[in-house]
Amino acid sequence: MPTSAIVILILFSALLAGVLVLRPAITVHAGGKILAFGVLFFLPLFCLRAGLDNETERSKSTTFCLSCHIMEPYGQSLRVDDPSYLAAAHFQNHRVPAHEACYTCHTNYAMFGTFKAKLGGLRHLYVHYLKTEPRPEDIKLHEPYNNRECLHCHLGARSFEQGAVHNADPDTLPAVKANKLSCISSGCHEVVHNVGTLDKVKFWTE
Amino acid sequence: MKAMNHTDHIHRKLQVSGVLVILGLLVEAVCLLWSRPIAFVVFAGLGGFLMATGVLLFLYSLVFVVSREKEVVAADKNEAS
Repeated sequence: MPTSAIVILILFSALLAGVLVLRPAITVHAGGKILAFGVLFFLPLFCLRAGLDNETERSKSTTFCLSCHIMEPYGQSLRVDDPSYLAAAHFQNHRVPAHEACYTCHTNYAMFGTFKAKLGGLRHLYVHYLKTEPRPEDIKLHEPYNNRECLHCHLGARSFEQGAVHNADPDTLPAVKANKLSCISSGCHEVVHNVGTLDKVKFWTE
Repeated sequence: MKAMNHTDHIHRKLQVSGVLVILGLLVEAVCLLWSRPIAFVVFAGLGGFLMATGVLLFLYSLVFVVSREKEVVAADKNEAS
C-alpha cells in the first residue's frame, strides 16, 4: 500500500474520530455504535498494521540505512572502483538488489531474521542518541558474520560450488558450509567495506 | 438521573478514547512522511502506545456499558419497589 494512501486513510480515520469526539451522543443509535466500533477499533488497528508494514519495508531500503550521518562512508564504500571490495562488487553488479543492499547482506536468514535485524537497528539508535558513537571505521558487527547470509544466495551456484580456490582443498567447502571457515575473515574475501582506506581508492561513477 | 450520569460517563470515555486515537493517528501520519530512522521508533512507540491506549479505553467502555446498565436497571427496580 503506498505511503500516500495510508496517510489519506489515517487522516480520514482521524476526521471520523473527530466527529465522535465532538458528537459522542450519536453512539446512542445503532449506526453511531457501528461507527464508533469502526473508528475507535477497526480503523486504528488497520492503519497501525498498514503503517508498520510500510515503515518496515522502508527501513530495508539502502537510502534509509545511509540516511544516518555515521553510515555515509559505508555508502561510499559501495561505489569503490575495485572488484576486491566485496560490498562494492555486490552492489555495483546487482548481486544484491541495489535499493536494499544493506538489508540483503545484513539481515539474518533464519527464523525471525527481519525482526532481529530491526532489533539490531534499534540498538544503533540507542548508541546514536544515548551513547558515544564510535568513528565509522571503528564500527564492529554485533556478532561474527555468519556464512549462512552468503550461502543464502551462493549455495548451489556454479561459481561457488565449482570454484577452483573453493575446491583446491577438499575440506574447504564443507568447512565454509558448516560456518567453520568464515568467508570474510579467513583471508579470502576480507576486503568488505574497509571504510578506513576510502581516501586511497578510486570511485565508480555511473 | 442515574441513567443520565451513566450516559455522560460513557460519552466522556468515548471522547477521551477518540482524542487518544486521533493523537496516535496524527503521530503515525507525521512519522510516515518523516523519512528518518527515529521515525520508525516514534511510530511504533509513541503512535502505537497512544492508539493502543485509545482502543483499549474504548473496549473498556464497552464492558463498562454492559455492567453499568445492569446496575442501573437493578437500582431503578429497587427505587420503584
